[in-house]
Amino acid sequence: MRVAVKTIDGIDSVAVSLNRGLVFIRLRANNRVTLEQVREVIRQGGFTPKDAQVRVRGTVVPDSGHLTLALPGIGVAFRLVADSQPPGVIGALDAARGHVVIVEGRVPETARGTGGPPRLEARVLSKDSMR
Amino acid sequence: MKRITLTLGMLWLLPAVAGAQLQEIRQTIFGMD
Repeated sequence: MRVAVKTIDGIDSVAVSLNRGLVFIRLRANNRVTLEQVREVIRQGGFTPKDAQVRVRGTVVPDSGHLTLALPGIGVAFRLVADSQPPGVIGALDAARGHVVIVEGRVPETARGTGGPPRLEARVLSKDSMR
Repeated sequence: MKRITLTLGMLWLLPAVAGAQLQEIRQTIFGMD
């Protein structure tokens, strides 16, 4: 599976631990990789992708009453949710509207073909000085 | 105040931010172990 994931353009390194049931992926700068793309390769390898911890850089934008982390160059967005966030993160997300930020958090597993943006449960938020 | 609602389809209209991307993924998997 490591080899299969590594063939995705934009992947820097892949480490697989079957004992821990974990695929650890670092991505190159200016990649256009989506989480669903990675999950599809994993499914093709006969595994079921469960939830993931991600670090992602994007722009916080409001969308129909929700906050979204947009990656406009890739055409992908994550819906930012408040579930199990530590105090302070919710307010920080709201204050970050329109700003480029780096968010770390959990993306729950999604069934194949599920519509709508994936949910990102933000745990850590940092403003990005690189514009 | 006039409120503007952004729909996901409008994401393409946002200016592309260089480096807006996934940086790291820790994906848990289940199956053939």
